[in-house]
Amino acid sequence: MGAFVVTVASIILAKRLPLLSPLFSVLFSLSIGALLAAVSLLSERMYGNNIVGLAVIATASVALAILFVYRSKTLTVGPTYRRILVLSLLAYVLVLIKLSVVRAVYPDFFSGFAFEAYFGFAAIGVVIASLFLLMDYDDIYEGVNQGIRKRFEWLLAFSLVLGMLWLYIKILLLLRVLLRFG
Amino acid sequence: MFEVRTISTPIMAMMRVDDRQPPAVQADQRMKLYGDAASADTATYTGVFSKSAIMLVLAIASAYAFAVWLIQEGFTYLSIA
Repeated sequence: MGAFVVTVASIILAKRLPLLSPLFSVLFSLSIGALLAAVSLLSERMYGNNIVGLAVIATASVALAILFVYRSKTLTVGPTYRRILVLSLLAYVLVLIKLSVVRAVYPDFFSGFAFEAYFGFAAIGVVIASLFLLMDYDDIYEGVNQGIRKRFEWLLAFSLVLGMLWLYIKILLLLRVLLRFG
Repeated sequence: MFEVRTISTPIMAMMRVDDRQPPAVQADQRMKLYGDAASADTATYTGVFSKSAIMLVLAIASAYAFAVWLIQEGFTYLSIA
């Protein structure tokens, strides 16, 4: 819980105080490392099958694939793309919260289609995280090409690392669903 | 206008030149983001990716240390970590 609080606080403060972003980037890295260890260890203990190694390889592969997509201009990032992606994320989070409440009230709600529901939401999470990574690449490309100040390098790096680790968590969750029901 | 997103999480805050503001405010925001035209103090790919690498190495080192500690403690503290 402590690591989670430090992680969220670092994210918010790095944005509010960009000049101190190097400090908050380090704090963020250390705290999210603890969170990742907890999630990864639990996953490995519950599901085995080298799930963590698989998730790391899958994350690296997806990150490289998204970089290729960005460089080949298959998908371009514009204001509409950003708006749609942010709205998709908000909708995703709201639906997840709502379904969590429903599941808490009616534990058997998903009993008939558990795999489809869990897999669907996990897969959508991976897609959204991947598309956010595309936005991170675009931020870096545009920022460097438009001559943004050096002090913002930490902020751009922060955004990229956050995107990658978020993708890792989402892929880990997807693998957990596959191993649980597979 | 290019927007530097500071985070890519659901919080999604932006730091940008706001083109709805008066020109003087926009100029001030632009100065903060880009400096003056002659400024050589600009971000580079090497700078961004080396900092990303530093952050990733720190996160992995922290994860490893925490995992070792958790295993030694027999996962006792996981619920409050």
